[in-house]
Amino acid sequence: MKKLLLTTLAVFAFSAQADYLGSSHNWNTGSSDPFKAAITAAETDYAAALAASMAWRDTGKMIKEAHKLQKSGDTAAALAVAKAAHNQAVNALSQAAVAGSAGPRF
Amino acid sequence: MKKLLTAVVSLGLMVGTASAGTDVEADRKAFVGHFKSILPQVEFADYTNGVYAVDEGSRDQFEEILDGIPPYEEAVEKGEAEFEKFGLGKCDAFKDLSTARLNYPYFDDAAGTVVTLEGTIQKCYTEQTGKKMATMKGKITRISSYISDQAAGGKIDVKVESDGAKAAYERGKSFFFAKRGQFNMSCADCHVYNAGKKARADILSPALGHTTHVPMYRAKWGGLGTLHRRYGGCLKNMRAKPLMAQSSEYRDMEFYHQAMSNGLEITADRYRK
Repeated sequence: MKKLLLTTLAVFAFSAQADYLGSSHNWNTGSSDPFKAAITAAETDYAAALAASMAWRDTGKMIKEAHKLQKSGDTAAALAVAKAAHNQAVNALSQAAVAGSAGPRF
Repeated sequence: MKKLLTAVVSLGLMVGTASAGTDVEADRKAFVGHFKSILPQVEFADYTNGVYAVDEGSRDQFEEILDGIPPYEEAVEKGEAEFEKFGLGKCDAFKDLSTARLNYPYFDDAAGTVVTLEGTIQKCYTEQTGKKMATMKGKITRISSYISDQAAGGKIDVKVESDGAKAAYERGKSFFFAKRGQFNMSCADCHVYNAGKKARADILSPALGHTTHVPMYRAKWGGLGTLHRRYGGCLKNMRAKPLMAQSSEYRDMEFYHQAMSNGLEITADRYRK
C-alpha cells in the first residue's frame, strides 16, 4: 500500500512539473525535432492555401506520406518529403497573394 | 502565423476584385478580338464547335460522329425521362424549357451568389424527391443536357448589372487568369493564349464558346460531365487541387466564362474528345 502511494505521488509530481514547464521547454536538450518543425510548417501553410482555394494537387498526399515514413522509422525521407510539402504550400501561398489581381494580357 | 498568412492571402485575393471599373462588354470585345487575332480563319459563330472550329481533321471526325448516332443521344433521352419522373417541371425555374438554359448562370442579388443551371437542377430535385443529387456526372448531366437541348440555337446573354454581380464576375475573371498549381498555369494560358496550339497530342480548345455545349460528352470520360467536372480536370492537369463542383469559385468563374461567350448559340452537339 505504501509503495502504491509513493508511486502515485511520484507520478503526480512529475506530471505536474511537466505541465508547469509546458510546451516551451525543449525536452530534447540541444536539438529540436526537425521533422516536427517541418511537418507543422507544411500543415499550417497547406491549411492556409486550402482556405485560399489555391492548394496544389499533391501537397496533402505528401504530408500523409511524410507521416507514414516517419512512423516507419525512415526519418531522413520523412523530413525530405515534409520539407518538399512545405515548399509546395509556400509557393501556393505566393500564387494566392497575387491571384486577385490576375487579368488578361491583351 | 496561420492567421497572418490567411489575412495576407485574403488581402491578395481582394485586390483587383473591386467592381467599380467592370465593363463586361469591353472585356468581351477584347476577348473576342484576341481570338480573331490568333485564329483569324475561325468565324465567330463557329466557336460553338470548340476545337473542331480550329482543326479540319478533328472536324471531319466530329461530323462523322454527329452523322451517326452520337454517343450521348441515349443519355439525353434518359434525361428527359428523368426530368418527367422526378417532377422537375413543377419547379418555377423549369416551367419554360425553351429558355431555361439561357437564364443561367445569373447573379441572385437576394442570395448574393451566382446561380447555375446545375445548382438549380439539384435544388429542384431535392425539393421534389427529398434526395441529394451528385454534382458532376450521372443524372445531373443527363437532365441538364436535356434542358440545354431545348434551348439549342438560343443566344447566350449573361447579364452583369448589380454591384454584387460585378464583384462575382471580377472574382471569376481573376480565377480564370490566375496562375495556380505546380505548373504555375492559368486557365487562360491554355485556352486563351495558346488556343489552337498543341499540348502533346491534343489541340487546345478556345475558351470562347466553351460554355455553349455543356454538359459535354467526352470520349475520355466515356460519358457526360458538367462544366465544373471539366474545371476540376483542368485544375488537376495544372497540378492544383480541384475545388468542389458548384463551389462559389467555380460558379463565379462560370459566370465570367459564359459572359465572354455572349452572342454565341447554345448547341446540342456536345461531343468532345
